Amino acid sequence: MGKWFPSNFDKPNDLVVTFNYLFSRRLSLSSSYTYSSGRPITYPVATYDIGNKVFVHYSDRNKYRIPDYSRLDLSLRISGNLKSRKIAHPNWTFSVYNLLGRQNVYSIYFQKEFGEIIGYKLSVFGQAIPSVTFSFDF
Amino acid sequence: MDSTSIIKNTCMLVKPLYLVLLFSVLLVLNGCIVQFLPETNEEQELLVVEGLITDQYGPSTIKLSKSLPLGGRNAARPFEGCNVSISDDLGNNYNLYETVAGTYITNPSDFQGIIGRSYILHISTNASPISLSYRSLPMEMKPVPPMDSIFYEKIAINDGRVGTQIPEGCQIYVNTHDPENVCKFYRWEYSETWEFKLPYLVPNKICWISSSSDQINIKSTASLVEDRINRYPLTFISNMTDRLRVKYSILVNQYSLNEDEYLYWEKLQNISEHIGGLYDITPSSINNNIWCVESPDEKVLGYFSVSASSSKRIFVKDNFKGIIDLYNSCNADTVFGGEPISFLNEFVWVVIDHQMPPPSFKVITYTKGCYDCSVRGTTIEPIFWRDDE
Repeated sequence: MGKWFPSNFDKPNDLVVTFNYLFSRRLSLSSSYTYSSGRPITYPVATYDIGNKVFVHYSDRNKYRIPDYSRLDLSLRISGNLKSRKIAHPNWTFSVYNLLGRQNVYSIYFQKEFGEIIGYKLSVFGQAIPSVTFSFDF
Repeated sequence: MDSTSIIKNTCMLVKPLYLVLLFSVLLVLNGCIVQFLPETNEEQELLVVEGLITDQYGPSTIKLSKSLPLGGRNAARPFEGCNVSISDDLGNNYNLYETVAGTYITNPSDFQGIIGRSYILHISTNASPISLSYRSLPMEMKPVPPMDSIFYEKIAINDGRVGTQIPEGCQIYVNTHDPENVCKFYRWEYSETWEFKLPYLVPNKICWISSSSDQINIKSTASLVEDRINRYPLTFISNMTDRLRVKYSILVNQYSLNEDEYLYWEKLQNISEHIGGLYDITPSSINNNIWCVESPDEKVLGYFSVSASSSKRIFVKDNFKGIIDLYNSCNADTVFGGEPISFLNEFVWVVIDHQMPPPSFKVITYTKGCYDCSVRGTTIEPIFWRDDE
């Protein structure tokens, strides 16, 4: 009783690294890497019998963390010919979100199936997502 | 542009926009769900203590078992070969004897709980590599008042129509109070017994079956002006069981609790029974009254309950509408004439044997429970069965 535990939103490490490189006036590369500690979680760790019932025993509150969040994004921007007298200057951007394809955990939950407790992790965008963007400045 | 064509044009715009939105929602929902086994550094086996000593005459039982880690299937693992004893606050020591694996009982001629005494449970295990010893906090046996009454009410089950009748269920209530205002924390356990009959003229036609409470039933009157409980809903018997078809009886035991034990059961109830809603509390480990002497940080599960108990039995013989007939799908086949029946009394049983008037026929069933009620229950009438006559 009366012991400290990490709050539900405790995030001790949070890192963002961005990298930009200009190859020429028309071609540029940009990349960003995000890393943060996983949020604390209380896991069910054992089951036991009392009387006619099966109970679940949980760990200490927020003793464990979900797997860390790590994501690398990359994008390449190709501008139009940049002639000064154009009305609008087009740009094409080819980018990949979550280049490493890491299945970052969005939520972890447990379900009772056929008398056993099975854990599941849910990932949103669990793969690399490429995208193409066309934009213009005027 | 007039108003109708403005509306038409915006509708034309909205249609592809709607598809784009739908596509992006589906993309977001393209979450991937994979099985996940957490890596934890918890003890693989924890001691589980299920023990209750009361002031009633008879052996008290302490059951010791081991917990199972998440990956394994559920099978009780009794903890055998331990030395279990109880000491009281007068310095007496009482040893418990192991009957079946993991079950340790007191000697009734040696030990009987007395109200007002405090008891401590001592356990020493022979776990490898070293044997560990556990003890409980001193638990005082508080007095418990007798129950004022146990009664039932018929409740219509509106969403469970059977034919044209609205089925009825039976809600059982408990009333109790403590004139001394001392007890304040109550726990109930019950044991149900009911009679059932098979619809055929077979040798084992009438049987009795028993079942015990499987929910935690507790109540505190600490915040009430008077130590009185009215209409505590103990259990609800629905129409989807044959408990109320013939005759039903329930024996309720009322236990007194210390406040610490009441809080333990309340926390356990919160994390195991009151779940599935929006406002659930986060589960976590629960403290109890037993700890390991050699390593106080080790978790021990279960509770050493020390309670006085009072009990009461009622019978329910009323007619309830819409009770399910568990045996209405028994008739499997009819066999005419005197044909021999293969696998008779192994996989096939005769439930109706019609000889006169001819033609003769036999009705057979492939379920042994339709022929012999002792598959489900016992043919021995319980000792208390005619107590209400």
